[in-house]
Amino acid sequence: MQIYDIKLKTNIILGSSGYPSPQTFIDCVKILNCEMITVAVRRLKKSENNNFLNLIKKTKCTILPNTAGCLSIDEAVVTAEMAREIFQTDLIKLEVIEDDLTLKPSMKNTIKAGEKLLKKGFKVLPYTTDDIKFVKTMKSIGCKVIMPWGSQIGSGRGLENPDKLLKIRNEIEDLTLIIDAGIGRISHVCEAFELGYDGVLLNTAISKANYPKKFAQALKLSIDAAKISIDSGLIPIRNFATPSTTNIGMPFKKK
Amino acid sequence: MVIYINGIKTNLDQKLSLSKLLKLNFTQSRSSYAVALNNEFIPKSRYKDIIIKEGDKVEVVTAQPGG
Repeated sequence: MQIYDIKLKTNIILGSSGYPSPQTFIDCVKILNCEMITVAVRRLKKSENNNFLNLIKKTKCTILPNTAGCLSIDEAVVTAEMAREIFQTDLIKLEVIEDDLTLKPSMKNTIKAGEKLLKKGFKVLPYTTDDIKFVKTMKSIGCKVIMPWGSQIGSGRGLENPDKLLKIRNEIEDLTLIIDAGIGRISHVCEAFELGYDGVLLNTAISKANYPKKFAQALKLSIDAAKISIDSGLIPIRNFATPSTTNIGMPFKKK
Repeated sequence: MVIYINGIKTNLDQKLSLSKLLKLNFTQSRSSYAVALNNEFIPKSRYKDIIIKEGDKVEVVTAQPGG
């Protein structure tokens, strides 16, 4: 999967939040052969010795900082600039939300923040809805990777509008498209690949499973299975029945 | 002089550079951090040149887990 100038061997970007322990997160990264992880920036407490940065450096993964929780264009831009200095990367997962309840990406503010960040040399990966107008605008301003939601962050509801997501994929063939948010089941991940998406970004489905490492193992198997099945050439979906058994030679017929 | 560090009201009894303010307030911290002053990102190279003023809002952030 191509993320600007970086080629990833795996199609999963893994969020780093909410695991039972740091070691569990590291184990999940290893199980998935994950090469890119998302991180955030938050206020530093006085006398805090934060080992998180050292921990994530040990994974050798490419770091994708986010602007999670930002409500305004300025908040998102400044957060991205601070993240660039801390993590020494131009990559930014751009999240500018409408409200704290749905965490729905704001089209207007994401576009404006995206424009500003691209001008400042960032490699922007915007989190969008499944609105094709939103996605096409992010493409037109210069984003090379776009990440529409499956459903609301942390909801586990999967791909709520597969038809809309398919339309996006069909109309934007040349960019890397990643489903970001809403994944709760292995089947949701398979569906994303079957729709032709390049990758999936997930966090809560793994970190909040009772046994995250088991979920990670299942996820690895499912990605492999989905890829092999897609390579096998899937049958087209039809509106009406087509008999799998031939009618030629059918007994009890007049001829 | 009253300023705000990460949203917490803080009294300063002397004129300080941003660099000095950070050293005094995050003495125990060996963490990598980045700074915004009054909602503007301040690169590390500018810390020593900035003098803190009344009412300044200083945000100091570090790496945290995120999705």
